[in-house]
Amino acid sequence: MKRSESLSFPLCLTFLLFEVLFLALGCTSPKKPEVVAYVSEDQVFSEPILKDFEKETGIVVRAVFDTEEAKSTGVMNRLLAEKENPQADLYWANEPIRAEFLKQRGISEPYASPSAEGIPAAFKDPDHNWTGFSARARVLIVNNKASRKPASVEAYLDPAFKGRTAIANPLFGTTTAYAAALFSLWGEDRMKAFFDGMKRNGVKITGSNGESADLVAGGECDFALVDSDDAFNRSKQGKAVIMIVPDQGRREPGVLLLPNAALIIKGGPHPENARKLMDYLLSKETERKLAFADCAQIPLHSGVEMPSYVPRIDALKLMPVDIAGVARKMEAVQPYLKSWSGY
Amino acid sequence: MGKQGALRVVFALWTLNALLPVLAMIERSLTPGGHLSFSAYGRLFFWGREWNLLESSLGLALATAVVTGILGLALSLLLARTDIPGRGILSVLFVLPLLLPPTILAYGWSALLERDGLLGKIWGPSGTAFLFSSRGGVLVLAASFLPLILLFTMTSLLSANPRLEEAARLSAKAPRILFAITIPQSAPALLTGCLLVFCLVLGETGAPTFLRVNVFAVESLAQFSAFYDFSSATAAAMPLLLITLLAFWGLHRLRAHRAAALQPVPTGTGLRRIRLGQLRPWFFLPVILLWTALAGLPLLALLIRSLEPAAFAEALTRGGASFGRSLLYAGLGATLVLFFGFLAGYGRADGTLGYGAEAIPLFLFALPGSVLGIGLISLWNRPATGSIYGSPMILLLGLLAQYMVLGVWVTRSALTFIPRSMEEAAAMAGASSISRLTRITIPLASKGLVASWLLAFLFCLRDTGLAMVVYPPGRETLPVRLFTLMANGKPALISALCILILLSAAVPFGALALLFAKSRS
Repeated sequence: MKRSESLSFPLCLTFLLFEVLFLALGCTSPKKPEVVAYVSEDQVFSEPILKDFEKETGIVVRAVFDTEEAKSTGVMNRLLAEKENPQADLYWANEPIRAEFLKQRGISEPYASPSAEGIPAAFKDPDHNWTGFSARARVLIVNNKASRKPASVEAYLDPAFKGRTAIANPLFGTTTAYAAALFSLWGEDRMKAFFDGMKRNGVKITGSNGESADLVAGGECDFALVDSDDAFNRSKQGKAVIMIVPDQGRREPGVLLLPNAALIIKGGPHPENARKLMDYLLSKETERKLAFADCAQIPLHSGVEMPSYVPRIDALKLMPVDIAGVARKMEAVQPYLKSWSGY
Repeated sequence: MGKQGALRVVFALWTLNALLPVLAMIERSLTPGGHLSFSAYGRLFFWGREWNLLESSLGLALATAVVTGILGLALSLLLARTDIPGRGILSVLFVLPLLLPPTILAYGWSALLERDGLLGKIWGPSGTAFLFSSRGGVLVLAASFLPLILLFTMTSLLSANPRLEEAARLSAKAPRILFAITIPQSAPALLTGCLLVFCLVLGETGAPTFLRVNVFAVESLAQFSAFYDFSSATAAAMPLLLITLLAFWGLHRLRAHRAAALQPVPTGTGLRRIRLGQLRPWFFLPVILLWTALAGLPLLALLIRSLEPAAFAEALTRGGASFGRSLLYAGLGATLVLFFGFLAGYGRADGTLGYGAEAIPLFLFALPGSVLGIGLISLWNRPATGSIYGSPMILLLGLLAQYMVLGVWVTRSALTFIPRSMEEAAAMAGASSISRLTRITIPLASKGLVASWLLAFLFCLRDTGLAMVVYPPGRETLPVRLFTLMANGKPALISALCILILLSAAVPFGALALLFAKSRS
């Protein structure tokens, strides 16, 4: 009798423990309509937009946000791992290369949103697998006390800035996209010569664009190539920095514009609500909100109300690159960047 | 099937839960193109720099383990075995950094040392040059993981059998007793703590990346983040896992002899504290200075940054729900870890379970959270198991897999000090297994069990590697929210969230302080 007691006690307790946890934490069926969004755009900027969508439509947004710690690719890895049984309905990418990558892996579903009308074709997938909206630019954040103000990314090679510049590790995020864009525009040899030259000139390789911006804001560096939201943000925090849109001269390559991108996940659980959220994200109103937010993103629709400090897209000389082409170059350029960054 | 069978079945259940996702990942790494291939492993050391990275990682991990080991032993002795003033508060202060991911401490240091920071104005660029180097890496990681050594060693020192010291006191003076008896008694716990620190530093990516120290663990992260290559990411995690298992094997060899030589004998008397007399302030001063240097200054920087009128209100608005969820998940995760860890430790202590009961949990502990997370998704994200995958259960299963080693090791350490003869006598008197377990073993090991739960709670609370991969949509934890808001979040908001994380440990820390206070009385 006692032996059977000893047999069942730990086992029964184990099952009881899991039973209780399962009942306590298990999913209850949702009473309200919902949509599951995976989001790589910074949470401080994206969450208010999603909250507004909830208020206006009554559809609850259950979001998974990306982190700096995972180099903003945690969500991407999750989407890839969940491919056979998708949990997400929509992906809000903070740059279109990832959206293009997901399209190439067969994870997205075409959807021609009516809100996408008026967005230039260069920022949309021709097959409607993803659509761009509200762009960031790759800009130079410059410390006010810097002896000279750079006007081009080629200032990274200037001996006057030796050891006084920073760039985020090009193995991750938008710096990879920039390297791939240069690869696409300049060709392999010139791009590599540029990166090797940067290294010879003592560029500091940081973990993220935010860290690069902080190094400039803290006075450790004179300038860094970052996303425009990083630069605006430091400026708004009262740091002694200015933002320079680089390479606007006649013979210079122009500024790289990286829009957000929204795409519908193929086989997601709430396709109808996903389309509603996509329409909302691509709307002029969302672009207006993101222009007035601290990220100061550049609207792609024409005629969107925006603050004076946000550059108008038609006033910029843009780097002439094709997103799908850049996405393809990324794979080719990464082994070199891995070696360049020391990994 | 009796007690032994039941323990084996429980451990087998845990092993299934923990190892199946990992095996799925290993299988994936060996079949990258759908057929058997070692290409993911072959590529690993194709270039010489991988060896350099491995060397850098080993150097960083070894230096941090040695520094934390030396500091941890000295501090544990002072806090647990002397009458140094304020030892309860000092214990809590030293454990605080464990609550924050090391990146946050690095962030705090960076705020101090930047040109306009509190120390930056004094030290200038030399301060940042120090921080952004491998020496800075050792400083930040030692401050982060020193609490682990303290928790292990202090628990061991407080649970030690005083009779050996009492006997020695008849013929030896205090210093000799310290070096010949007290320190050797706590050596297994100290070495275990050092091994855990070594493993944690080997797998750490956030702080080294922030401090620009190149380490091998970033290989796995890069494969995930830059190449989305799960096969190579798993392969890249393997060298560090092998090193961890080798270190465990070495420790096991060492600990087996120690444990055999230190079979305790029951006694009714408590531990005698070393009286520092007039030297008390002279011991207190360096201890508080050490805490200030390691943790106080970066935490102060975070506190100062958080002191903006709206920062805490915004932190509560944005992170309030996550705050509650984190406490709930960490509490449940720690309870699971304690439950399974206790049974595995119990089985290990009485010989029912073999070395695997320690080695497998250690393997899981050293595995990058991202690898385990992707493995959990591969295993559980199916229509039939959607109710588990779509709920926080998936996170709890992951936490149980990753942190069970804390339950096993602390429990086993506590059980080492309970003489087998007590259970044997009870068995002869007719007590059932359950009675022996609940009336003898658990009460006698209670301090160790509480320490085990607290340690597991802290790790579950601070976890980001696993949580950021598997948390259910809309149900993120506070550390995950901290990291998601770090991208362009206001520094005051980020700092306020860090302070909230620290506060979230107030309840278990209060329990810890009470435990120590009780042991003092």
